[in-house]
Amino acid sequence: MSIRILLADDHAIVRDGLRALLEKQPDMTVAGEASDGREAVQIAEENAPDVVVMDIAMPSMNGIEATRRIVATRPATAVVILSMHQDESYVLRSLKAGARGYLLKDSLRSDVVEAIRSVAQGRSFLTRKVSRLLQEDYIRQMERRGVEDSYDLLTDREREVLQLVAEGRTNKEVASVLNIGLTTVETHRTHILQKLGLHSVPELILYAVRKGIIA
Amino acid sequence: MPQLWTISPARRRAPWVVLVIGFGGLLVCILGAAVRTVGAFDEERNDQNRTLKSYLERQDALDRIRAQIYLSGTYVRDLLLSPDASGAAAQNSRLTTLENDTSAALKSYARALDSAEVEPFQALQNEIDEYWRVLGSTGQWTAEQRNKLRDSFFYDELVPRRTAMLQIADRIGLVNERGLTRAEYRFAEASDRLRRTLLLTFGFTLLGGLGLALATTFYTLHLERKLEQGLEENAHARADLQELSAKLVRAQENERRTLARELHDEVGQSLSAILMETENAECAENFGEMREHLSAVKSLAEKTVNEVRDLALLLRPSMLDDFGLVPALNWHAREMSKRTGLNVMVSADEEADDLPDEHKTCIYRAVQEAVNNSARHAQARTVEVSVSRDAASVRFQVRDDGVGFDSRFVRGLGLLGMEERVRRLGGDLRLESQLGRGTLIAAELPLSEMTPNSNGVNGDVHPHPVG
Repeated sequence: MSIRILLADDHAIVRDGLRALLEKQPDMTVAGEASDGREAVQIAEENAPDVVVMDIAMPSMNGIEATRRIVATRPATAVVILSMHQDESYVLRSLKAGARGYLLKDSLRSDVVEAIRSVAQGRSFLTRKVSRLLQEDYIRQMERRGVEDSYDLLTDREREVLQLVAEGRTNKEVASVLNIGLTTVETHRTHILQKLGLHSVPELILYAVRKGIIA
Repeated sequence: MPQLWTISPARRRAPWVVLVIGFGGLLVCILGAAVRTVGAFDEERNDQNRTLKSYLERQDALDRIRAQIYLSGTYVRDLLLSPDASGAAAQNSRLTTLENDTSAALKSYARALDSAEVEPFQALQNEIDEYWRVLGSTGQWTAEQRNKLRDSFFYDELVPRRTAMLQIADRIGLVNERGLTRAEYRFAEASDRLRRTLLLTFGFTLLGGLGLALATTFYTLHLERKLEQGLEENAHARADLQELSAKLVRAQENERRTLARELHDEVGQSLSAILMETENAECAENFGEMREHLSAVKSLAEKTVNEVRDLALLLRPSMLDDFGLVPALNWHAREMSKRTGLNVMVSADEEADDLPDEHKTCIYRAVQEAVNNSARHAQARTVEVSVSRDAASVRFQVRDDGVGFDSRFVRGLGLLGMEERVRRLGGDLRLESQLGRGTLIAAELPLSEMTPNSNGVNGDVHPHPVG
């Protein structure tokens, strides 16, 4: 069973390039194309794709808002952002809107394919360049402010949970991987967020990326 | 031009009140002096006329009395010499007429008697009464009596009495004359007084006029100076404005030049290189060579994408339109930290994202300029940026720990631009800086009847788009 993909970008040349790349993959099918956010929401509704590859800067409705709507109506659909923006504000907002992956337009082709496979399996994927930038920023800030690294406050179990959650796994998956109870996982999550001063899973993912815990 | 010419209304009115009162007073003074002078002159002339007339009248009466006394002598002589009774009777009646005339003259004189004249006049009256009584006695005389007593009467009675009377009359005349002299003295005194009053009035008026003239002149000069000063300031302001606009035009031109160079030197070159590499790939002999060229094309394209993105972000960060002010400020802070090592810390209200486009841009540009200044000129290590917002206004401030500067002298183009942007939105830029004490730039922008995010740019991208 191949992964059904919707391509949303206002530039036909980008869509064509992606289509050429993805059609070559044996496990992928391009199920539709949209040239703006509104259209993407509509086609996602009709075609029920497994993965949407979404640009951010689009007319009529931007990719972040389109992602929010698609994820809200079809939680099973995974969205990968493919944007030229590499600033963390875009990354964080995309993740908050429900995107599972974040790619840059100058990312490697293999990255695109890998990202689509990852998010289709329910995991998150950030392109290496973005992770590196975020990590560098984080380290720079830490050094400059001389803030104590709150990661040291976490227990080993909490670090394990952090990594799994950041990879995009659900609480149930985490519980089965670590062989612990569901409520224990939830307790761990709450503690992690508290200790790190974070408020949501997307922030937690960003944190994990910055720390180099995940890709 | 702001505040070059503002004189408060009260201050503007005061000089005119003074001038009106001054000139009015002066005119009233002159008018009063003229009326008084004319009145005094008239009165004095009347007084003089009256006095002279009365003097002449009395002198005339006195002369008449004298003449009548002489005449009476002649009549008496004629009477005494007349041989018959009818002649005597005729002389007698003439004498009676004369006596009446004399008493009339006396009466007319007595009308205005001076106190000094009372005594001699009384003496004269008595003397004359006595004289007429003595003369009257001759009327009853017979012809022989007249013949017999004629000489003795004439020389013993008449002549001495006449002489006495004339002497008294002379004395009265003298008194009368003295009265005239006294009156003349009085006139002289009165005119002296008038003169003094006139001089005083004229002097006062002159002084007042002089004072007023001086005040007016000084005020006029003052106004003129002020006008000149204002014009000069205007000219300065205009020159400043021209210089500023020239600078702005230059700055804009420089920016365009930089942009053009960047586009040409970086993007253009990269694209040319891509073109070349593509051609090379086209003409490649084998697959390996082609792959090499394509790999070069790819890295060139990556480089170009980065260049274009950097350029675009430098011109206007997309976060400003996509997410609002705070993400844009955060981005700028990170970029500055990355590029310059400056530690930029941003603390901002979430509400500050939701601002009208103009305010967003103004604050972003101001903060950008301030942070750039801190990095470039202030040798600062840390810059704190804060933005807060309530219903009525949005405030921002940028504080660094750099070397500071003397804000009285240094006013760069960036600062001017910042001020201009803030002022255009009705705000006020505050700048505190001292050498060695860091710099604080702060401003508050009023938010008048704001419609939250009505601009289309953000609406597309905002979490809650229309429709």
